[in-house]
Amino acid sequence: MSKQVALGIDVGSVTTKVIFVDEKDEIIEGLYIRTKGNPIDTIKAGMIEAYSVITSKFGDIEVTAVGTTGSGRQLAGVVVGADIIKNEISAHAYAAIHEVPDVSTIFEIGGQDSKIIFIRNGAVTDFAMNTVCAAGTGSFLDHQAERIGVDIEKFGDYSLRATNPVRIAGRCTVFAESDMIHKQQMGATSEDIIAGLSESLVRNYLNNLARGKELLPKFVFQGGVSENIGIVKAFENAVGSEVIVPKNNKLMGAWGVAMLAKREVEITGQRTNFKGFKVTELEHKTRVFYCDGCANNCEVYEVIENGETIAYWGDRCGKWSNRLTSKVRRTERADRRQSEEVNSEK
Amino acid sequence: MSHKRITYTVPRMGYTYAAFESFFQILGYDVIIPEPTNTETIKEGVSNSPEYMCFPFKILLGQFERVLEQNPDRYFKMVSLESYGPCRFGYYSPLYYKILKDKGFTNFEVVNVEGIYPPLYRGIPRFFKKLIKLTGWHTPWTVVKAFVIAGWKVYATEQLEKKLYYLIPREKVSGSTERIFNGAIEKIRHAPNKVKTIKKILNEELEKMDKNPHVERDDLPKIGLVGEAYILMDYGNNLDIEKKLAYMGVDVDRSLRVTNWTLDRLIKTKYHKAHMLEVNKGYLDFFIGGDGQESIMNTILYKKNGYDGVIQAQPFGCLPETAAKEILTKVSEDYDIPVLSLAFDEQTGEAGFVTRLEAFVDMIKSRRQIKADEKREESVTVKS
Repeated sequence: MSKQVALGIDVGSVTTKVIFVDEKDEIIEGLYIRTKGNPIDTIKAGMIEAYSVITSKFGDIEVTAVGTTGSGRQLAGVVVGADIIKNEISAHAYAAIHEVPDVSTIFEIGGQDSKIIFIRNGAVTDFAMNTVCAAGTGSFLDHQAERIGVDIEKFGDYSLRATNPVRIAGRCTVFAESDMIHKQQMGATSEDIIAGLSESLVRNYLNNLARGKELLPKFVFQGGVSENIGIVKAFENAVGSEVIVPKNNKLMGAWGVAMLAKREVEITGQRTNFKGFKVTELEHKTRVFYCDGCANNCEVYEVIENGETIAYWGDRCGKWSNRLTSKVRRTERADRRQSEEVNSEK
Repeated sequence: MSHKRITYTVPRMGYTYAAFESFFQILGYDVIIPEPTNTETIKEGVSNSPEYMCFPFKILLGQFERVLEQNPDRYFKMVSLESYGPCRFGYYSPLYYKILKDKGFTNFEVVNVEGIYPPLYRGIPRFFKKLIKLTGWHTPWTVVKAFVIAGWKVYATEQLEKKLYYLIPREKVSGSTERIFNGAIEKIRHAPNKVKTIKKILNEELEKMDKNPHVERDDLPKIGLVGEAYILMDYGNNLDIEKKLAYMGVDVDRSLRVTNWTLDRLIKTKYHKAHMLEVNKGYLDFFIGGDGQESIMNTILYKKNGYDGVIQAQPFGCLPETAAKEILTKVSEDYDIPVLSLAFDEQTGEAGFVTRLEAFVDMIKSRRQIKADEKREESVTVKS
């Protein structure tokens, strides 16, 4: 019998994560690749790579459920045929609770977003996400690493070696950068600057997101930035307690959504919508146009698979997005939604 | 004054623009309603406003500018709502005037509407002076009729909206109620100016929406919306937050509507203020401009009415709402109600916005689940 697996895809702003989990919810293969400009090609490349690795390990596999998350989840979900398209907050929280059942606070810093999730008794009770400001996210660290000329992977070690971290304004990336350049021209070492940057990032994060709310242990820190040991140490200093970095820290979102997809398929009892690995051979195109149907001037996005349109979104009135789903299917979906809620209430 | 034909243009406020349109039509003027907020109007507004100005100002400036550009052969009276007090809202109309003059437009003037402010012996004459400047000289009967008809149209659109957001999470075929609603709004807009006919159309349309197949249920999560009036009331500005939440299966309620906003601000001021002070005791008991105080009051009232969560919609950098946001953190802790603050700015990318909404709805559902479990456990222990 072929091995049954679930597929989780997390299309983040900077990186894309593709993972397979087995029946026991353990990750058997996980990939972490840069998204670059084209998410569709990245997903396909990731799927091909993961597929070849996993088949060489386990032989034939059968995908029973697929979930997508991250900022590119809609697109990824349409392209591969996902059973569940979930926001990253729920996915991250689900995985963290699975890994550390008595977690109370989750710090998550990704490429473009940073979030804090409060958990009480195994359920999300509150969360906050950075608003229009991108200060203290992965992209900023990436950019600074490049500017200083230090590999982003070595960033953590540098800040651990620091003897006297300098103080850097963390409110806004533009000011942080000019502050850093100023300190560097005054003669501070790269180590001290990087350590200072980590501290200011954590300070800004806690000011901006936690905003005086009660922070209780246990703390879990995940997302791409949690690779950085310097920031983990800065967090531990700030909260005065141990901060757990789970072993799959970078893949938590994809892992969570894969487990959620499995649960979804179990609840509904329907077959997966997964289109199979043949999607990697299909040609996908996207197109943006301005609808001139009314004064709203919506930006409408169109996804084309082998010359056939498979999805529209971005329209406010539903003129385009309703075009593809027939009435029957929509009723079905409404019924399904209801039965799911009834089940979860039980 | 130019010899060109006088035309009115008013800020577009969600679906209620139909009412403002009929108001000026009854007085015998032409009306041009600006197009809804879209990328073009935002672009124009943002590029011509001071950077730190409120987002609603930028939106409105962009809308007015488009109207002036497209109709160079008319003379416009731009109606601007105004408030007085410490917030920047009070400077809108002089700033419109200056910026548009600098841009080279000459065919317009700004007229503004204000509430009646104490002391009354000065406030009331001031109000009527402004009103006459706004409407021109008419027989009092016409003005009263215009007010009554406009009031009824606003009331009708709001009733339809309420029905729509009530039915969306319950309908069997998703999108079907919205189609009926769109037709109904058009009918109200073009309804003849008689109270009786408006009433009749409203009742017919409400019945039609009610007949649309749906499942009655009272176990949906409930979310209330608070925040800055213009962002909250216009669906173009808040990326249609109400409809999005309704389609996610949530009972959604908006705290500020044109009717209660005008009633509270213009007519029931005294009662409204006293009520607000009583509810807000210990949090914010003085006026900070805009709708900051209302945001806090409505959050507390929502909690008392059994809502599960509150979303605060604010334009980025709005002073009263920023102040309210910090106080809401405390309110949220004390009253055990989650509050999500969303800042709206010129970015129209919906990905991050939808993520936050979805996560908030997920969280509300899981909180309800926990509460339900606790209740069940309690009842079990009582029995045993």
